[in-house]
Amino acid sequence: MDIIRRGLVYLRPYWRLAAGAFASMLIVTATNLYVPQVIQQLIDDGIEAQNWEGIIWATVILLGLALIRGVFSFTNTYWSAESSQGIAYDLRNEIFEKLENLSFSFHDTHQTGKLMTRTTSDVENVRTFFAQGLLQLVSALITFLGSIIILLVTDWRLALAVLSTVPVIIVIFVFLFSRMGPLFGEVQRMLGKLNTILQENIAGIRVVKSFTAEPFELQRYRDQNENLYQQNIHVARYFGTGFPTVFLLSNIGTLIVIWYGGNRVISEQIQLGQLIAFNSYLSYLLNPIFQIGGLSQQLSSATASGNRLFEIIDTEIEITSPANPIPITHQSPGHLSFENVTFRYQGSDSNVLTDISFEAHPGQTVALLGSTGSGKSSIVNLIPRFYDVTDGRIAIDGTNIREYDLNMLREQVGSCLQEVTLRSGTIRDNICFGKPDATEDEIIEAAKMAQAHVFIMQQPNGYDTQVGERGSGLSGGQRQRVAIARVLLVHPRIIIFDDSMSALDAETEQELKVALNPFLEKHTAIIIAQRISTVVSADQILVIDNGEIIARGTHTELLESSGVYQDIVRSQLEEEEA
Amino acid sequence: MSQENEQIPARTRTDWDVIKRLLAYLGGEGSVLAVVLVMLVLQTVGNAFGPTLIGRAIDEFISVDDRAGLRTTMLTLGGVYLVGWVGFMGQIYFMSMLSQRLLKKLRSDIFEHVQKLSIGYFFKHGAGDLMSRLVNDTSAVGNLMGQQLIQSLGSLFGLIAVLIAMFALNVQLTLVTIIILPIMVAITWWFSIRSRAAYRETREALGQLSAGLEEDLSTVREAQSFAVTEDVINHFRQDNAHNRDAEIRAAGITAAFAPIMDALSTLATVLVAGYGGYLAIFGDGTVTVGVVVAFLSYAQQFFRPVQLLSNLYTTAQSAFAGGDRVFDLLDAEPEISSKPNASEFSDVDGHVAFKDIVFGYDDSKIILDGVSLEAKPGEMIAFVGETGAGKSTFVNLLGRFYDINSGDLLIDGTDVRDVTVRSLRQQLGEVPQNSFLFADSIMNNLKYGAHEATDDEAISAAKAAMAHEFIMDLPDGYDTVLSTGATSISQGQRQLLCIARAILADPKILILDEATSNIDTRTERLVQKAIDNLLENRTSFVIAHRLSTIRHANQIVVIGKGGIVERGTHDELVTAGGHYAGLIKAQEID
Ligand SMILES: Nc1ncnc2c1ncn2[C@@H]1O[C@H](COP(=O)(O)OP(=O)(O)O)[C@@H](O)[C@H]1O
Ligand SMILES: Nc1ncnc2c1ncn2[C@@H]1O[C@H](COP(=O)(O)OP(=O)(O)O)[C@@H](O)[C@H]1O
Ligand SMILES: [Mg+2]
Ligand SMILES: [Mg+2]
Repeated sequence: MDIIRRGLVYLRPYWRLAAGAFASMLIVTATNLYVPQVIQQLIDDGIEAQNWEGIIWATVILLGLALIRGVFSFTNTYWSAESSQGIAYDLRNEIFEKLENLSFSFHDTHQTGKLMTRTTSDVENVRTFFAQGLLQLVSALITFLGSIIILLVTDWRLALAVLSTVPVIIVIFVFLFSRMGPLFGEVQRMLGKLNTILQENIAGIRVVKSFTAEPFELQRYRDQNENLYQQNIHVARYFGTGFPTVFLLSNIGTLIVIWYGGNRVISEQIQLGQLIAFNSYLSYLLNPIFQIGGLSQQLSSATASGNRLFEIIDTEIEITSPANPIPITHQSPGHLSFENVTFRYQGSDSNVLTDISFEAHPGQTVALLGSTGSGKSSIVNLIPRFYDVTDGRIAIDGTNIREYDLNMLREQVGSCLQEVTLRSGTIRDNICFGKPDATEDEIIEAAKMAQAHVFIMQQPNGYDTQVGERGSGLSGGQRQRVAIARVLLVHPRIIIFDDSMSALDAETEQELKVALNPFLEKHTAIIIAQRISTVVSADQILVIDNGEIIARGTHTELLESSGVYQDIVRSQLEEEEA
Repeated sequence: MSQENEQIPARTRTDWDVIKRLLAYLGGEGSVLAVVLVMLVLQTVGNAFGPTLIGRAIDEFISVDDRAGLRTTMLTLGGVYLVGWVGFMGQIYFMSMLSQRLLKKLRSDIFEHVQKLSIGYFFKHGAGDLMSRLVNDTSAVGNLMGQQLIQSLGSLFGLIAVLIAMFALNVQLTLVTIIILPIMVAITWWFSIRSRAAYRETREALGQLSAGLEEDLSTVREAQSFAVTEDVINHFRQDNAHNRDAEIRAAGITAAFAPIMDALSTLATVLVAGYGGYLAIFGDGTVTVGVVVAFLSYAQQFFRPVQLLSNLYTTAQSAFAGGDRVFDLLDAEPEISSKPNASEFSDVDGHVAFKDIVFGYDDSKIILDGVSLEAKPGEMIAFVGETGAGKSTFVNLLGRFYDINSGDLLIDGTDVRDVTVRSLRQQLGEVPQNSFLFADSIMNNLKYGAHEATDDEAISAAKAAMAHEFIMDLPDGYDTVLSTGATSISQGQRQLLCIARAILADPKILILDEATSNIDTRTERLVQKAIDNLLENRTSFVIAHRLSTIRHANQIVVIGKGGIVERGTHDELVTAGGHYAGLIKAQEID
């Protein structure tokens, strides 16, 4: 029930529309109730009395009623749609905004396919309830209570006889509702799983095809599809038993009235007319019960989805700006220091980084070298606060990075992530990603520096060439250079290259390094690379092993002091010697 | 991302086309459908007889003080209610079964079809849009085939019954009653055209929203890195608003339609009352007051299902639009498929010949222009060259991910287009340039190319690829479930897993596309041993920038503009002092 209360909060901005829709519905219901009377009048006073005027009068009223009903049933449907779509819109925005801001560690542990299910189908479930269920529910409850009162007034003995079925009906509802909520939760969970298989399949279609794993994928999808089917059937079994049973019980109510009431008429305790009237009021009592029964499915489904949505909305964003953030701008000198930094990933039981300390002075280039999985990317991912340190501190210009405004910090720390992910759109869109208002000159300058201009100009539409999702349509090295241009364009004070030249051939890499030199002289840079040739000119080289800095110095110093470094150099010299 | 200038593709199928194809899906479910119909009849009987019995109880028994008669009638009524109860339960249950089966089948079919589409299709269509077709559009179809179908069947039954009763009573008045019908049909038709466009737009808008969503979620790290989450969110809001507005527009059309139908029905009632009343008052007496009264209630009974059906028809446009998009996908011809009488490859020797290959992703830009190359069984062919020269493109042709424009591509002397795509690809194994791993356990990822492999075999492959150690450091070892995009392990580790996966798959012809680019040189040296073992005795195509890895190749091919600019062994090329020799120089430590 708590969930329903929370859901209602979303209705608040649209309460006028919702109230309008509700009022419209009441008017429509009222005209519906009135129409039979007019028809009765038409028959009694018009046709049967052979009174032409009576006929005309009644038909005019009928048409008038139809008109009123038409207008209000339009407003009812339209306003319901408008308010429920508004709610869905707000809910979706809120979820999306949350997902966009949740830290890396959240996304490390949540599958995209499942998150998509929440943002689309769970929201839709909640919306359907607001669009149709809620108004009907409220009006059903009102009619229900109203009818009980009328019945009690008309004949309290008969009324009590009828009402005897109500507790049973309520018990069934409560049972249904408490059972179906979790069942629907399960349906949505399975749908999420199914969608994850699909999403992964599409994202990895290349691998699927090259390993001819289509039958395997199909089987996996079919199995999950079957599970979902079974779950849906399971739900149908509950609903298909519960709902008709409620219907049956309400019918039994009618039966009781006619039987017991009939006997009372025969014993002349009540009039026949009273019984007939009572019977017709009865349908006002039973209709809402029937409606609520039908709604229980929607309500359970919406509740289950709502729960899942609030789970995301309630997730705390771990990495946020401090309460009183310090601004950091392009004027920042860009002095970076790690002070005894220790780090462990959430859910992991050992540190990936232990006691990392180093300094990068403005304009300096620090290179990180080390074996695969030694923690290089982990180190640089701490600088823009993709993750927060477990212990120790990272400072820029002497101030702990946690005290800076988060967005400003990230604007001043530009990283070429190890895995390049471009987006669908034009090459220009991609370069401008971090600075949508960049001028053409700035874009071309950045692309030239990244050695991307030449190949871009060779594309059919130059900068306006479309690339597909994840940058498909470009070769690996082309993607990397677009990604580098994307970072250069924002002119960060501190720039990070995380193995971001790995797909470049040696020649292009050389050219890139030459072109970058003037930039690197003015900015603080952290470079991760595999090739010694890339790092040889760095002001400081850190050799990382197993999350620790095991040696540091310039190329010449390390050649003398570090065995591991010598080994790395040797592993690459062998190439040249053959 | 660009939505404003994009035209909404019109529906290509008529409603009837969509319905026919959907009905074909129900074809195999004849028995369930029959049960549903029986249940529906039981339920209708229950509903219809109840009021009649109550009427009789009042008129024939209560009013004449017949307690025994009342009891019998009431017991009968109880029986009727029980029958209705059973019918109702059965109807819900079997109808859900029917519609869920249909959905299941539709989903499986689409998924199966998507597996057949060629890589080029995925390049053109966003993953999110494809997902939306499978998820949202099918579920719109499911709604139609569930309760909506039942309702329209029920309405149709009722409609026919009333029509018969009316004709039996008085033809003239019947005609007056249904004189409005053609107008209703015309209006329904007019509205359905509008709602068709509107609903198509809602489905497209939802597809677009999903496509954007999928891409946004998979690039959320970039957005945070560039501190542009605000912009991304604003863009999402636009798509979201577009979707909302489309939905509201479509709802508006339906909302306007229902009252018009309602008013027309009332008009029909009025006509009956007017004309009937006129006949009763001034007529020759053939039309009695009783007949007119009966017709008034018939008119109402007649137009209720008519309204219901026409409303269903407009709202069903949503499902038809969904079905249309689903069938668009199902009808997309895979560009690359096996010939009807293609033969099967089994255990090829690995003799590969490219002859005068011409290829471009689109005809305006030819990337490989008349390239020939031969690899004898067991040979290693290495490709080097500038990024974007066409190395990956070259090796992609082998598995027929794209078809060549002209020329011949032969394996063991057989044209690759003459064998089934599946058997062709089974001969090949690759470590692709973008290491992709599934959000599944490491063990399952390793076995992806060899499902029948044992755990021990998988572990030795991991050991050979130098992956065992880091896997054992993970919380659940080989059972560790990777995140989407395997973001929870380092990029180099991802490549190691891809190498292990290829080792385990044990293909006849191996493709390594910059397989070790993110791996440090010391680890690479260790992995290289495993790779060398792997390459022994099988034909391989290796792309690498670090030239150490390819020094021993039987043939080194330098790809440049339009194709091959240089070829030969390492020593030959170094002596020749051309392009390759230049690359070697560039890589030397200054
Ligand atoms: N998001 C993550 N969650 C948990 N563990 C991670 C995550 N990213 C990396 N790791 C682990 O941390 C270690 C260091 O990884 P990383 O810093 O990426 O190494 P590299 O030096 O290759 O860049 C690896 O063992 C890796 O498996
Ligand atoms: N799917 C594609 N569609 C269109 N063009 C593509 C596609 N993939 C690659 N290209 C283009 O083909 C050329 C060769 O790319 P590729 O073979 O990936 O180069 P590389 O030699 O770096 O592997 C590049 O100019 C790239 O832009
Ligand atoms: Mg890394
Ligand atoms: Mg490539």
